[in-house]
Amino acid sequence: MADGGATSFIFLTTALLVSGLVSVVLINQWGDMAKASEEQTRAMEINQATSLGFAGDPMMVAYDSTPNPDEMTFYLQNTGTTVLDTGTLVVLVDGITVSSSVTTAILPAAGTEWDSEHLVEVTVSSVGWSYANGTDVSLTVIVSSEVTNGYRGTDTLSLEVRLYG
Amino acid sequence: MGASVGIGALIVGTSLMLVFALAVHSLDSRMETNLEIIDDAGDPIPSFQIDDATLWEGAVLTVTVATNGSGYQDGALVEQSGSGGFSGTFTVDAAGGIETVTITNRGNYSSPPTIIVDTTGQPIASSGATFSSDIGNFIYANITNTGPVTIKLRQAWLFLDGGTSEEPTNLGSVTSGISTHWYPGETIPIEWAEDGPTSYDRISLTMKGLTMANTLA
Repeated sequence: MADGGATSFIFLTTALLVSGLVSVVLINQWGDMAKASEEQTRAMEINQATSLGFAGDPMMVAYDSTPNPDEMTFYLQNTGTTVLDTGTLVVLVDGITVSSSVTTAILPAAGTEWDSEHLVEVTVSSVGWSYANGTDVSLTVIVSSEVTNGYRGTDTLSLEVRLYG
Repeated sequence: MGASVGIGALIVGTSLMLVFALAVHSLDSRMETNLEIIDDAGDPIPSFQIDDATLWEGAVLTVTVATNGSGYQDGALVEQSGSGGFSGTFTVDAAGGIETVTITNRGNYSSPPTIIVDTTGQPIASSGATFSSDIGNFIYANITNTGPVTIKLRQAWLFLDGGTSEEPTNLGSVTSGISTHWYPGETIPIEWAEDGPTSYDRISLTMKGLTMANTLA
């Protein structure tokens, strides 16, 4: 009888320990999963709120062959709700990246942040260009938002434009 | 033995319930985000049109009082030869000197016109007022919000020739009304003075990434 009592006690203790451990593991694991899912959701929200639009007349994008190298100037509008970061702009013309020679200016000039009430004037140049007036080119722009709640959203704009100048 | 199994089962059961609660919370959160995204995608898209747009390359942009004169009453201004379409009004100070000038019709000229006081109804003793004028590009246009979305004027931008030779202008700065919003079905007149040296072919309006363009008449 005494042996039976000891055995029961051992079973009880073991069962409690095992179930306790299982509980801790289950809660921790799901806690991690929930946290990861929440972070992913937050990132998705920021990405969804990040949006970029072309501004101006796509039939008349300024192209100046007077300087060397040739320059192209166009305007972009923040069409989302996050503030965009001009420093993250990447521009591709006819599929070729020209990010090394991108200059930007916010309009109106009094503005400091690229929000939905400000335009950005983008000037890009490349030694490889020799476009003629009226040439249609493919323009792709990638931009990221400022860091919002620890995340950056990204948006891409692609369109055909006609050079003018 | 039975008690140990029971307590163990209770602990595991409680844990599973906790995990279930966490799972439901995560799924709810994810579902809410997805619904917001779907909701955003279903938002109506703005729509607008440029009804007409005219460029007057020699419009009178400013009229300045060079000499105030004396003996005048509030009255009207005309162009000396009566051609070109200019008209305006003026107010006088206590001495009858011309104080302020308002342009009511800018007309269209190839050189700055000579502006004079319309003597009709003016006292015989009135005299001496002279003016200088300045001409330049002036765009008249009418735009209509044809969509279901109320548009903030500060989020819409006007371009001449795609902004190639003149910086874009915020729509809010060229509308004569005091409103800050452009409501569905509303037509807004645009009066845009642009004293640049060049002529223009096209006007375009951009809002929320949407662009409408028109040839300038």
